[in-house]
Amino acid sequence: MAELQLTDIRKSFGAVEVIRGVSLTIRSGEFMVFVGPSGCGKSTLLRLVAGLEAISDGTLSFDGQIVNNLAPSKRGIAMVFQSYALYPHMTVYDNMAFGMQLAKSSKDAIKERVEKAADLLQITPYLKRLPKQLSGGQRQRVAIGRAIVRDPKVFLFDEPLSNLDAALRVATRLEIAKLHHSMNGATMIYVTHDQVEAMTLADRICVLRDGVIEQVGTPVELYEQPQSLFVAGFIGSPKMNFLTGKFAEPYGASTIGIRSEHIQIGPGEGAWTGKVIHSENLGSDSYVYADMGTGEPVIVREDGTKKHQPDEAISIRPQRGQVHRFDSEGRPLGRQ
Amino acid sequence: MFELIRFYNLFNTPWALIFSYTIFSLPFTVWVLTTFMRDLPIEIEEAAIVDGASPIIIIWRVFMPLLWPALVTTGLLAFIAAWNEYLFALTFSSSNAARTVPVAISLFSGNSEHEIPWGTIMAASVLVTAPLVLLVLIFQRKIISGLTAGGVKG
Repeated sequence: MAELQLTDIRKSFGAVEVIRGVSLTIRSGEFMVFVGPSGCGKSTLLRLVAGLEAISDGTLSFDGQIVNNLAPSKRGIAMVFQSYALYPHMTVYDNMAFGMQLAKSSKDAIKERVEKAADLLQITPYLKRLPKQLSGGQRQRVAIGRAIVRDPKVFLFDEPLSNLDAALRVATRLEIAKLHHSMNGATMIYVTHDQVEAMTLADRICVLRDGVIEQVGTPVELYEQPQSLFVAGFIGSPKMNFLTGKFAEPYGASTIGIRSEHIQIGPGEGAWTGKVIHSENLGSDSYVYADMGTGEPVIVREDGTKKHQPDEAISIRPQRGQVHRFDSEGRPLGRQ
Repeated sequence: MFELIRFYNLFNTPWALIFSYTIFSLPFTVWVLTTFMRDLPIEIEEAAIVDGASPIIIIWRVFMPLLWPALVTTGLLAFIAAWNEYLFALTFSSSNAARTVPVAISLFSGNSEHEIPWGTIMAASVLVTAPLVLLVLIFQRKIISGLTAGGVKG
């Protein structure tokens, strides 16, 4: 419902500049994910959008209206915190109703909105309970419910899944994706350090590093055409294999990057030889860690039925057209 | 201290003790309460800000309910300290009307100089603990830790 325009946003804490000139347009109704290693400024950027931190320089506008100095509650945002941040002394119902009560909405209107949100998130049976009587996943759903009740133009999620266990994380991730579909037009900004969450949820991903944007694009764009060595290494699991020196020279690059699924095992033209360090069998796939004499092991994805023993000799070759080439500055030279 | 009390004309009035006890218990209560306040998660405050709460509403409707157990506990401790205090009470009062219980008990005397009325002193001592017991009974539901449990992770 709102288009966000960030223009040369900067944020300093004392002498330290944490956000160093971020310009970004978040389209109306888009699911934008900020992703990056810890300390890259992604949470700070979200807090700037929320209004919990003051912007040092640059402008932030919602639908063309500059909101730099607007209080968080006036911006039409709702935020879901990593630690849920529910009010411990209030029931689930009151937690969700608190914002509307402060806005002096009528009792009936509050009741209707809270019940609708509770229904959507399947937390209706818990409305009378206190947060401490709920499990982690239920608490997180209440926190999301509190955000929905505010009927915001922009949803902000600050690593909402990192306190949940692995199974619950996948389930809640799915719910957030469903929520985005069911709330037609709500813009969502989601901060995470988990690139799997980023890939699965995002319409577009914004990769941040040291307070600047490395690349913005759809998950597939980032995966297939990383604009820097950093993005190439950050997006994708397992990490992209980087090779330098004699491996990269034939490709006319200083570094080449190959994803584990783009490497074939078996001798052939242009094959490299090394030995197996370890292999992980995940059932459907297995990951083979091969020592090519480069320091870092090369990870190769293979069919789960194959077995490899440590110290076994192995030859591998990259698939044609799937080798990402980078120059010495980490800039892309295209695939070959 | 005594000079000050005399100067402000507070000698032998309840105000002498009210002021001195307040001043003496303040550092302790502030110190205890700040530790409690530091433990309040900042995200809860931020959530309230996003919900549109003003600082006063945040304090009254969000933080006060969470701080109640701490307030009651420190309040009781300060009360016990003041209730049982002896030295100031002895120094700053002279008449029966202004005297506190510990001083009054110490001034119990027997029929002769050589007799200490243990029975009466013990009976009085037991009686003065009654208000304390009563207060703790009234507030015992509030004196619980972990009221913030459930609001944030863990």
